[in-house]
This record gives sequence, structure tokens and C-alpha cells, in this order.
Amino acid sequence: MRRRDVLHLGLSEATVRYRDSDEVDFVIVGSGAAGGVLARELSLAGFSVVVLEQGPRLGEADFKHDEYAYWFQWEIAADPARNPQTFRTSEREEARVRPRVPPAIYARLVGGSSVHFTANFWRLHPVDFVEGTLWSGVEGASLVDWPITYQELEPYYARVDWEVGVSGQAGASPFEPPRSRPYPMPPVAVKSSGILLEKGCREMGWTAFPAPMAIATESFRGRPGCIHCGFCMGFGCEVRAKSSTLVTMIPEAEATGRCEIRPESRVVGIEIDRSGRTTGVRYLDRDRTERMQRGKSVILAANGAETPRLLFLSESSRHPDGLANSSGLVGKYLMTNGQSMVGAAFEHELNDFKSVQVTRIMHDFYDSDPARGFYGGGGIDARLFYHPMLWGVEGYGPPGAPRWGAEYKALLRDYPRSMFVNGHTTSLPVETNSISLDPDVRDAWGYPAIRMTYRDHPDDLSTMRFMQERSVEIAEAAGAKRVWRYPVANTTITAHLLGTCRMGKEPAASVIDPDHRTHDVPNLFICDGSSMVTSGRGQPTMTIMALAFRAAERIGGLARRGEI
Amino acid sequence: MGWSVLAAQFPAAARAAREARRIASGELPRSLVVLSPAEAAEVEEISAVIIPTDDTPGAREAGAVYFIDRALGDFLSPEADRFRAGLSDFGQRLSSSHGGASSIADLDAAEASSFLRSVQDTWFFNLCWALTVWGTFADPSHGGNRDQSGWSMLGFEDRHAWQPPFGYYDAGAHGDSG
Repeated sequence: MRRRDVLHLGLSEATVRYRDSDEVDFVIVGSGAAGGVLARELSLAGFSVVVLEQGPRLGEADFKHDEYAYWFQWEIAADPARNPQTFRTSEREEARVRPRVPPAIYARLVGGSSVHFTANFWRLHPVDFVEGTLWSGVEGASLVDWPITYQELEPYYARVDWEVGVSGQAGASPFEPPRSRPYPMPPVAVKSSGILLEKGCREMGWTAFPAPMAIATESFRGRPGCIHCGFCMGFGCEVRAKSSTLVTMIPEAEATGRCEIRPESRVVGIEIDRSGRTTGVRYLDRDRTERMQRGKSVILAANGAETPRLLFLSESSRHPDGLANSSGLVGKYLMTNGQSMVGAAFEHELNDFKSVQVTRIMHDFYDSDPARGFYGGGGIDARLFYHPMLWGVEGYGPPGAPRWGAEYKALLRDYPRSMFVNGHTTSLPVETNSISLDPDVRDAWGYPAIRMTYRDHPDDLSTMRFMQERSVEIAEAAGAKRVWRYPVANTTITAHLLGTCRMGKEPAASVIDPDHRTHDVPNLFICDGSSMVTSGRGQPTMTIMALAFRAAERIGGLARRGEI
Repeated sequence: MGWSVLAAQFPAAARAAREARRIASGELPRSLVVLSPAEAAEVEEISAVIIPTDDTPGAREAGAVYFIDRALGDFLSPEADRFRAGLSDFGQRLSSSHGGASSIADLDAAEASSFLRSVQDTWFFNLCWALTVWGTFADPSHGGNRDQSGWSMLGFEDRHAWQPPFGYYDAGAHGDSG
């Protein structure tokens, strides 16, 4: 048995519990893709850590195959009844509450959205880090280089592959970024959607290749391989095959005896002393009692919507525009990744409701090409996307398709013969796209609600339309007997919350430095989707985890050297 | 994109709805909570026009009306009176446009379809439509999709695990190892 497996077997032992008055080395806000990695890395490095998570702690036995519970009643994500959000497309509009489906979709439980995500695990490419230089500006956007390069981040991508658990096939993509190690597990067994994507791409002269997925395909570090149940996207894995931080990083953090995961702890403010340093965070426990957890340093890993919200909630007379906001850029440059969608029904059954969503992807149009006349690029995958309820509401056909009678039923019954060819694309960082506090709406705890302001840059919409045309070509070349499009429209709902506390060297032009330290508060750090400078082409979680591995190393080094 | 059309959904349930469902867990009684027998009968006829029965089950066999009734008794309870009023209005329009017809079941398929076009933008019909679809395809524990008949009509099956090959097009791709 490998050493790491032994770590997993030790989980039933009680983990460490700290008192609020204990000044731990690190208080981490959020236990998702970034928070889970940070907790594991810093506790393994010998630091004392408390992770505050607003949601409950659930395990694989709590998860179920129930579309109504997760997609309609929001049992683990969104929760618009208690956590309302408002939306508007520009600052000139009054933002309105979205009572049914809030604009920012994320999960609230230990493990965060890494529990319910689809597990697409693309790395960024070298070009993603230097497009400011390559494009020397795009009108209406702040397209700048990252302060770090792909080469600097690559070792941490490799650590995610091997320590969190990613399956895939090195060398299969002609556009693959350089990698120091192969994948630790073979790719997910190909589905009919993958075969058809391969066929359509081949006919068009493009290349589909096995998708990198955060899904164990064989026994890996004490977890079993995927059993192909088909309930990944929006669901929690019932066998621990999906590589969420809930079943990977967090148990290993707790096994150090130095990390406490404290669920149902809702952080509402960051405390700052007279010298301008943070002393810890204020939070509401499950009984709504306000408490304060003291810490030598605080790391925000709450996601690209909650992290800026928390900085705004921490405003004071000395920080009237919110904490760590001397640049004025907290909450700005929100990026979501564009999407396009094409339905395709075939003669024979794909039965794509089985197994993981995505088994093949293509990156032939990943890079921007000035010849297209606009900035942007992306990737394409094929997947069923819909479980039965939402298939019946919107998946079976385009807007305007029959919705009753024999014609409707005939379209419904295309379910096992259908798939969707989806484009995943760049979002430009636009200053007016933002997360802020709604001036009127409050959550069930009495705190201001998240307000999202978002309108896609014209180049983003052009990129989505371009990818949709390529998707139609793929579907037709693959032999679909029916192809339908969903109109490309302004993004109003997203699960990707990126760029709202961007990283940079210049304090006037960024919120955090390349070590993830806020420019304004020396012992306050931020690491999550908000750190990203550009959006990539979709599927940001791999990069968020790689950033967290790197951040933990940088922050741990600063702490050891007494430089915090 | 799928997210965008999700916005057309109806209100997410209150916490209390979940509690009610736990109390009522197990095989649900086929009894009505909110709708009268006459109202339920007409809602079932409307659902049967939306997803008709042919050689495969439709909304009627799925018991979508029981899902609808339960929804009106829990998370949609604030809308229950408006729904019943909408149903009444639906009936009056039907009666006045089709010579005193008392039910949409009195119309043939072409007439019924034509009538639905005339009411397709009403609040009542859109809610009734959505609930019919949900009730036909939601997990059976929520009151509809009886015996998984909605799923079997679609060609969907919920299993704990599957093994490749999954479908026609990948049948040759898995080799001896399956």
C-alpha cells in the first residue's frame, strides 16, 4: 500500500479543533478548489490552519441522482431563497433580483464547486499568459499579460495531475502545452459523443482528442475509478471518483492534525488593526452567533463573487471603498467564459446519459487569429448536457420548437440519439463587468446581496458565434440527421467567476501581487478564480488549483522567512 | 446556452418543502392535496395534450398531475389560488371558443393544438406546461414519473453504474477490456 493510502485510512480519527481565540497561522475562507489545496499544502508544511466554509459538510452517501433536488431546488448550489443575487447589464440599469436562477452559480458545501462541477480539466496554454503583448490592446478591454508565465505554473499543473488526480492522454492533442509528466491515469472510456466529435472533426480536417478530466479512471490514492453513472455535472460523486477537494485535499489536510475544516461558518468581515494588518475574520456560526477567528494571516479563497463581496463588506472609515481596494479594481474585470451550443440528433442511439459528460474535445481554434477580425478563441466538446427534466424544458429543440402534442413528443424521444456540440470561449476583461454589493437587497443573514453587472464584449459574442458555426459544421460532418442552434446571447448566468481581484505587479493596476498577497494589507492573501488576469478558454478549475499549489508554496515561504 | 434558458424556471423550493417530502417519503399516496378531483381531472387532460399517450406512455401515465398537485401544496403554495383561477379561466375560454366544451378532452388533437396556441402566452398555461414536463421526468419520489414511465418513454434509465460500450457509435471502440 502506498503511503498516501495510509493517510486516507486515518480519516476516522478526530481532527484538530481550535478555539476562536487561538491565533492560528492561517485562516482560509472557503474550502473549494483553491481553499482545499491551500489547506492541505500549508498544513502539510507545518502551519496551523482553520478553514471556514459557509456550507455544510456532506459525504458521498449524501449525494443522489435527483435532478429536481439539485437543478431545480438548488440543494447544494445557488440557494436563491436565502442568498439572493441581482443582475444588470450596465451601470445605467437598476439591478433586479433573479429569484429563480441567480447569475452566479456556485456550490455551498465543504469542497465548494469542485464537488458539483463537471470536472473538465484543461490547462491554460502559454499564449493565455501573454496576450496583452501579442494583441497590444483590444478596445474596450484591459487585455494584459499575467505577471507569471505558463512555464512558471507548469510544475503546479503537474502536481494537480498527480496529487489531485487527472485522467487524460499526454501527446494526443497537437496543440498541447508543454508538460513535464504524463497523466497519472488513462482517459475516461470514450462515449458515442466522443466518437462522433472525432468523426466530425476528422471530416473537417481538425483533431478531437481525449479530454483531460478530474475523474479517477482507476483506483487512485485510495479512491475507486469511475463507474459511469452519468451524474457528474451539478451532482456530487457517490463513489469519490470525481477529484473534488472534498475527497482529495481536505482529508489529507485533516490528517496532518494541524488543519480544522469548520463548516456552516459564514464569514462576514475581515478585521484590521491600527497598523493596517488583519487580525482574523468575523463569521456567523450555524446558530447565527457572530464569532471571530484569530489568525496571523488570512487567505480569501471564496470564489470570484464571494471574495470581492467580502472585501466590500469589510469597508471601514480607513477603507471606505472596501478592503485592499486602493486600486479601485476589486470586483472589476469579471470574466465568465463564453458559451455556444448546438444540438445534434443521430440515427442510432448514443445513450450519452451514461458516464462522464465529456470524453473528447478539440482545440484547433484555441488561439486567437487576427484574420478572423476579432479577438478570441476557444475549444469545443460534445456532451449530452441535459438530464431528463431540463431536456424536456429546453434541450429537445431550439426556441420556437413545438412544445405539445405528437410533434413535441417525437422531439423528446430523440433523447438517447442526441448530443450537444458546445463552444467554450474567451471573455475579455472589461472594467464595467463587475461584482459589487447591491444597495437594497440583503441576504437571509441581513448582509448586502451580490450584484452582478455583465455585458459581453462584442469580440466575445463574435467568438461565440464563430465557435457555433464550427460546431454546426462538426455536427453535420458527423452525420447528424437533425441539427439545432441556441441563439448566441449576452451571458446572464455563469459558473465561472474570474478576474475580480486580478494579479499584477503594479499596485495601481491590480489587487494582488504575484505571491497572491494583497498590495494593501501585508498579511491578507487572495487565491481563487478572482486572481486570474485573463479568462482562458473555459474550464478554469485546473488553473485555480495550480495557482493554489503555487500560492501555498510562495505564502509558506514568506511565512517561514518572517516576511509576512 | 443551457444556463440562459434555465432562467425560465419557476421559484426554487422553500426549505419546508424538503421537510414535507421527507414526511411523505416512500410510495406516495395517489391522493390530492390542493386540487379538487374535477380540477385535477382537467389538469390531467391538459397534460395529456402536452405529452400525449400513443404506443408509449405520456404525461397521463406518468401521473404528472400528482406532481403538479404536490407542487401547489408546497413550494408553489403561494401561487395555488392563482393557478386555480387560471385553470378556471382556461375552461371558460375553451367553452366560449368551442361551443360549450367542458374539457379539452372534448377536442380532437388538431383543435386542441389550435386552442393551446391561443393561450400559449398565458401565465397559467406556461406554468402548467412546465410542471407537466417536470412531473413527467422528475425522479419518481417527487410524485410524478410513475414507475419511471416518463424516463422509459425518453429512453433514459437511472442505474448506479454502467459499463462500456455505452451506445451504437462507441460499440467498436472499447476492445477486449470493455
